[in-house]
Amino acid sequence: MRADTIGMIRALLVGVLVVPFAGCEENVFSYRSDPLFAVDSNLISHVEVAAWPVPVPMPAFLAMRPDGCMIVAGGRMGAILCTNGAVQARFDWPGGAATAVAAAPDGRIFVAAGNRVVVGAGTKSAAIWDSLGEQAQITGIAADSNQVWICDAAQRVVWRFDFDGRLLGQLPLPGTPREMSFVVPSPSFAVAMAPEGGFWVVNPGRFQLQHHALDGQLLAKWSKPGMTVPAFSGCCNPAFVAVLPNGDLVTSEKKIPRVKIYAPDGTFRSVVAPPLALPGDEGRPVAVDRAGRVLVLDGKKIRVFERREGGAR
Amino acid sequence: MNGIEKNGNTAPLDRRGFLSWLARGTAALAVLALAGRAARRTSAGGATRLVWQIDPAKCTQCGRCATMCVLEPSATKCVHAFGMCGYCKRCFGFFQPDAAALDESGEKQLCPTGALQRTFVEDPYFEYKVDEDKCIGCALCVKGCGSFGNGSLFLQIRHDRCVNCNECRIAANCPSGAISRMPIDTPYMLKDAERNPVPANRPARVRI
Repeated sequence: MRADTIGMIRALLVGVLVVPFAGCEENVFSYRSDPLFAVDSNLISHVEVAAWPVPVPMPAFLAMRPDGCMIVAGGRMGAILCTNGAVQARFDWPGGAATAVAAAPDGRIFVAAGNRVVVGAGTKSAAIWDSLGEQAQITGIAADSNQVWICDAAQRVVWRFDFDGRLLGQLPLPGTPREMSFVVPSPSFAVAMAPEGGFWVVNPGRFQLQHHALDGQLLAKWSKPGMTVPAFSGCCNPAFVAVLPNGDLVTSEKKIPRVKIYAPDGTFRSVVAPPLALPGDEGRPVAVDRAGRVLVLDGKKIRVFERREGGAR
Repeated sequence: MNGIEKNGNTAPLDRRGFLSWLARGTAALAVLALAGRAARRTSAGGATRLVWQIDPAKCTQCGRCATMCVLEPSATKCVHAFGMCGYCKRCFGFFQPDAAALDESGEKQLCPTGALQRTFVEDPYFEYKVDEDKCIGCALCVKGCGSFGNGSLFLQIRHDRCVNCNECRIAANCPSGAISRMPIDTPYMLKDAERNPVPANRPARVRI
C-alpha cells in the first residue's frame, strides 16, 4: 500500500514536470545564424545622437547636397532637409517611383525613376532623360560637377552621362577581363563620389569595392567575402556606400544589417551601427555630412551617428 | 370489332398503341439520362477535388514537414525557382552559414542528406539543383537561402508522393498555418521571377 502511494506520487511528479514540455521538442533542423549577428562592443566607434523624421511617405534613398542639406526620395515624392533635420522643401517628378537619388555640386538633383533619370533644379523637374532600356533597373547614382554615373543592376553596367543626358561611356570598359565584370545577384548596386577624385562603385556579388578615375580607369579594388564582422556576408554586399571627408568608406550591408567603416585600402576600421541597432534585414541607405557624421536612412527617419569618445578607430 | 378484342381487362396492342408506348418509353429514358447526368455533375464537378499545399510566403521553415508527414521521407520537397536564383558562389542554401572555405566537402554543406547539388557554370556562378530522392523536406536550405539570399529555394508538397490524407499531419502541426487545401487544377504555389523581381543576373549560358 505504501509502495503504491509512493509510485503514484512519483508518476504524478513525472506528469507535472514532463507533460508541460512535451510539445516543446527542439527543432533538429534548426538553422543557427545568431552568432553571425553578434558584434564585439569594442569594435563600435559611433553613437546615435539624433533621429530626424522624414516627411516622405515611403523614404527609400538618401543623398547629400554640397551645402550640407539632405535629399530623401521614395515613391514619387522627395524632400530636402536642412542640416538640423528641418524640412526645407518637398518635390515630386513625373514618371515612376524613385529607385535612387543623387545631388551634383551645383545643387541639381538626379532621381532615378524606373529605367530613366529625372533631373531637377531646385524643386522643379528640369529634364527627363531617355530610357536606359526596358531591362534597365537603376539602383545607384552619383554626380560630380559635369558627369553622372548610373548603376544599372539588371544590365550590370555603370553608365556615364553628361548633365544633358548624353551617354559618354560605361563600365566595365571595353576589353575588361571577365573576372572584373560586375556580379549583381540582387538589386543593390551602389556608387559614390570620392573626395580625393574619382568614384567608388560596389561590385556586390564579388563583395568588392572598386575605385575608378573619372574616365573609368580602375585605380584600386579590394574585396572582403566572409562571415566575420570585418567581411561582407550574404549573397551580395555591401548594398550602399558613402565616402567620409577623410576618404574612408562607409558601407551598409543587408541581411546582416550593419554599417561599417573601411580605409580606402580595405582595412577594416570600425562598426558604426551593429545589427542590434538595425532591426530587420534590409540594407539602409547611408550618407555622410561635412562634419563626418554618418547618416542612416532607417524607415521614416534619418538617424545620425557621431564618433564617440574612446570608440574604435 | 376490327381486330380489337376485349377479353377481361386486357386488349391486344394495335400499331398506334405500340408507337405511343414506344414514344413514352423513349421520353422517359431521355429524362432519366438527363437527370443522371446532372446528378453526376453535381457530385463530381460541382465540388472540386482539393489537395494540400504549402504557401511559401507563410512558411517559417520550422522543420516539421520532415518529421510530421506520414510518409518517410516526407512528401514535402525543396523546389528551386531558377528564375530568382542568383547562382551565387557562396550559396547559403548549400553551405553552412559559417563555412570558411567554399568547397563541396560534406561538413561544409548545410543539407543533412546532400540533396542540394551544385555545378560550376562560369566564374563566379554555380547552378544548384535539388535531388528529390534525397530531399527530406527539412527546409534548412530554404532557411539559409531566405536568410541571406534571394529566397529562390522553397518547400512544396509533391503530389506524385502525397497520399492526400483527409487530415494532413503536417498541416495540423504547422505553426504558421502555411498549409491549406488547394484546387487540384492549381496544385502548386510556386515562386517565380515575375512575382519576386530580381535582376536578370545569371551567366549568359543559363539566361532564362
